[in-house]
Amino acid sequence: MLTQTIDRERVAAAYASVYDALRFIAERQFRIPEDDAREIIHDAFVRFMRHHQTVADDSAWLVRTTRNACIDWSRRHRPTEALPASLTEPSRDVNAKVDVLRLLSRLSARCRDVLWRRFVEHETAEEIAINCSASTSGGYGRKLVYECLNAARAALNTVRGRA
Amino acid sequence: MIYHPHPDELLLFVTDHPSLDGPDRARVAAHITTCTGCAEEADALRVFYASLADPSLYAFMAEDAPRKAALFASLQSEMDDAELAGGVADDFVAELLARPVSRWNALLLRRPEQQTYALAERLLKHVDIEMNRRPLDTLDILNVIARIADSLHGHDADEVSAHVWKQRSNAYRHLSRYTESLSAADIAALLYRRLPDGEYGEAQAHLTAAIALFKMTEYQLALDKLTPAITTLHKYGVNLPLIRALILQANIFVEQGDMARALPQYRSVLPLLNKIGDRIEEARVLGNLADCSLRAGDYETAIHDATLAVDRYEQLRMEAEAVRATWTLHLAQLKVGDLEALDRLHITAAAFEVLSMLGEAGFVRLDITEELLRIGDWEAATPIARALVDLFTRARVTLAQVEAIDQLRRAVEKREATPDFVRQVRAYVEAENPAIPFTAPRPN
Repeated sequence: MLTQTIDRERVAAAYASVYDALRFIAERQFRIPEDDAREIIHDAFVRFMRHHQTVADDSAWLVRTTRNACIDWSRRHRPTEALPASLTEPSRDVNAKVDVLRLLSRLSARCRDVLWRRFVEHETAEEIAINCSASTSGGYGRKLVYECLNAARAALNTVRGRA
Repeated sequence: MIYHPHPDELLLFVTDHPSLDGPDRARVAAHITTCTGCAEEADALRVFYASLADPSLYAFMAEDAPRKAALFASLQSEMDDAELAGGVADDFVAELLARPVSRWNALLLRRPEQQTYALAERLLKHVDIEMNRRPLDTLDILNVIARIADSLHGHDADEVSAHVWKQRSNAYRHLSRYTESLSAADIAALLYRRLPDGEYGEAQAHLTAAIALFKMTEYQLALDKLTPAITTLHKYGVNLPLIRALILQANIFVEQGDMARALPQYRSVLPLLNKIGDRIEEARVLGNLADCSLRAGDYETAIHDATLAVDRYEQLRMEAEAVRATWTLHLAQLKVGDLEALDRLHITAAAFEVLSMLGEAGFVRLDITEELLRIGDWEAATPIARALVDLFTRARVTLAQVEAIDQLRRAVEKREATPDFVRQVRAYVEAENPAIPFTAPRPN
């Protein structure tokens, strides 16, 4: 069934939470040039705008639609290259990266910062407390990390459709 | 009960969180060496948290912020255009609806600028609404939409054409023109395949074909269409076509008498319906669950689900469906020895009569008769059996069916009828095959 009224807030929310993941799929996974990748993503959102009333899991729908469009693009632009199976059925590693991008988009900037410090910069709990708040307490830093991990887990469950 | 670590505990384990002490850590570690499910979950979490530590992903998000905003602005302008075109199309639809469909093409020829995707979209919506009531008329409207599709370009043209063929398939099915319905669904599938989200539409076209095959009682062929369609639709997360496909699959299991597969299938659909907020379909699935449990002999579950279904239907003011669910409820109550349910079945039969659903009222009274014969209450059974003849006659069943009911009446009056006799009469009336006359079982 087609839709006639556009839920603009819903389209905007989907855009905010899944755009980076779609770009990752198009640009990094399929190695599609930026301009074409953006066109593919734009088309996916236009189709979503038309069909969102029959969809409950917005980001899953957008990810799948974008991935299919990327497959079509690859077949059109690189007809002599065999499409690796890893592109049509992505590995767990790729899925995890897509999930991380989707969930980072859902987290607050503060939580993104805390997770960056904990997992990428390997800051200690005390350093996180100092850098992210006025506190110097390691306990508070651990609490911040734990809260953000929990928020990440909740976002992950939503991203994976378990919410 | 088997121990499985709580997701929070697993999270603490894979992230080496200090709040998980040594013995707990050892317990989780020991468990995942023996539990495949938890080991896979832990692995998935590990991969996920390794990705969370990938600095390139944070950089990737940060690098594109300005273009992300620009692209969203372009999407917003697309939404503005779509709403504007929608407004124009709404006005033109009003003009079209004021005329007979036979004059729509002439009007469109005079106003070619109106032949837009938005107009096709609105007319398809109109077809969707009219489909159950006037399927033959929708075929004419679909011919008009097909002409609009010819004037569109690219994916818009393919998409509208695909929808037209899918709806033609639905219309033919409503008109019992099943072969045409299947051919139209095949064409729709081919057209959907040209779209970027083609497999989604294609799966919906296969679902449409499966519904036609279900109506043709070609259950295995319907399942063959349905199973891959469900796999595809699953990839798009929870969506309405997926839920419809799962329900149809469960309906097929019921028709095949496979309650063991039907019950969990219906049960699995409930949270999806809840997620999508479809209260009507949720009530229907609860009703189906109750029917299945009754057939499978799980009367307590049948009572539970039927009670929920009645409640939902009443909230939705779906009176006929609510009465139908009370029928299941009272039958299940009867099966667990609640003899007062017999009185409540009388109320159900009366409710069907009030709704002019005389056939259903007759079947409820057949159930009552069967129960009365089981407990040997001939005094109560006789007037009901007599009334059944009149009731089924008013329900306009065939002469052969009325004859079968009359044979039951005579057997009850002679006190020769048995519950099995009632079941045979019921099966005969349900089968609707007037060519074969009813043969009464010999009295014992």
